[in-house]
Amino acid sequence: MAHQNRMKQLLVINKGLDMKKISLVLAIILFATTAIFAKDAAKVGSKAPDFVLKDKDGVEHKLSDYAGKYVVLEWVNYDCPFVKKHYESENMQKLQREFTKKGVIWLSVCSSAEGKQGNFTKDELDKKQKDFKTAETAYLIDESGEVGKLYNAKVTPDMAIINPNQEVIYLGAIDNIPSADKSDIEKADNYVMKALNSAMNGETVEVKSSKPYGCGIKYANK
Amino acid sequence: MKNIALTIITIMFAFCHNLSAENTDELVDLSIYSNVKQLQIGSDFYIAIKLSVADEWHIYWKNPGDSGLPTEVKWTLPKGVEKVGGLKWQIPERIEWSGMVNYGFEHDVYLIQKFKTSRVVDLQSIDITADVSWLICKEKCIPQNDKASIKIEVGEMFEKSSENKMIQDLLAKAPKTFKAVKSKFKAGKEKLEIRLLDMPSDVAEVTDLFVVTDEIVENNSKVEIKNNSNSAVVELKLSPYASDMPAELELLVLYKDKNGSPKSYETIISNK
Repeated sequence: MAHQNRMKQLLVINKGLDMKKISLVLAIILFATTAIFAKDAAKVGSKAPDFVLKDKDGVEHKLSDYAGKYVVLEWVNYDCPFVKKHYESENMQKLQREFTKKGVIWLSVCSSAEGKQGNFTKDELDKKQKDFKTAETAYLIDESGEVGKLYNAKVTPDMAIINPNQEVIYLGAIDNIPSADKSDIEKADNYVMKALNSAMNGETVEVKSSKPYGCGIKYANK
Repeated sequence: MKNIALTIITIMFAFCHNLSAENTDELVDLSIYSNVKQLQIGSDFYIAIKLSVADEWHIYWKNPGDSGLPTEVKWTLPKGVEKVGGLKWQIPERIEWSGMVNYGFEHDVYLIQKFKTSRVVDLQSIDITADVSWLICKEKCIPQNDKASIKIEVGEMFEKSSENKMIQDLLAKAPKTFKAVKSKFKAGKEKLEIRLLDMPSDVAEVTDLFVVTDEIVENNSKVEIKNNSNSAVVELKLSPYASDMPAELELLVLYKDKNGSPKSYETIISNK
């Protein structure tokens, strides 16, 4: 009888161990999955998802290192006609120059996968940027598309503005006229300029999001 | 030797053919047709524009989806000729890639417009020009435009053109316009609920739905349809850009009629 009881006790201990093991495995799985999905996509009014990307010269840029400053993210593909509209007219460079002078960090991000349109070699990039006289703070390479997807970037150009508290204050189009026609720029309401000016003057940003227009981003795995 | 020469010529021909296919000026071929050759002033007629799209490329529907631009037509019309209603579009395809969805056409597409003529003006002939602009994309995108013109004779007799049957067939297949009175929509926190409470009498089952109004729904979200008897409820995920919901939504509803044939209708529903 005593022997039987001892056996039962042992079984219970064993079961307990198994349960412990299972819970441990479950906890690890849970932790791993939350770690994978921890980063929610960018939302206006929420904390800007942090990221680290290398620029075209191989220098790392961490978004959270720019806390205390306004940051503009601009998804770019110099061969897209909608991007060309804003670069050939110098509209984009003017914005870059005006706001970087005021201390804004302007990060152009390229999420074109390797071998796809918009993914240029360093030499090609240097030439294009020299020709366009671009004035961004840094040109970041996001070949995996991870950061593009984190910011729900679908087209080029697609814009995001982050305030000094690292909150997203604007997501969407550069302006309100979806076209590839340069002559529309003058007539358009530039949402990025307006949002930056309002926020930097302590005013409310009127248009906080808009549907971006342009070429689809050439992400990996078509 | 002869064989080698033939092979080289064949290869060269294939190569040149390939090159010409990538000539961006030839990606879309524009043509224009009317259902009438001659008409009497006072009667209506149709103009069809055909865009022949090169293989593997696509152009866009009136709501282009996640990227792209809608195809547009600007008409140059003589005095006494006016448009009746909007442009008739064919049912678009969902073009999916990298988690994004576009609405467009990866094949030849026809856009049809109805016109009326008034007796006020004395016309000898009707000259119409369509200035068509589109964005064509494969991996890269190219904005393009072209013009096409057509002349219709004015006379005592009404004479159909040789394209009349083709245009009538296209019109028969095009989405019908349906005036919905009871159908409603409601935007929740994340979802849009569309209640189709009145539909054309031949609807047996709603099979698909496109929200024509841009920036309302997440284009890659699943269209969830619950068919009830004589009504249907459709749920879609709201777009993150849908900050201000309009009072009215334009829809394209695809359905099977009581014989199982695919049909469609366009309608406008309100939120009240």
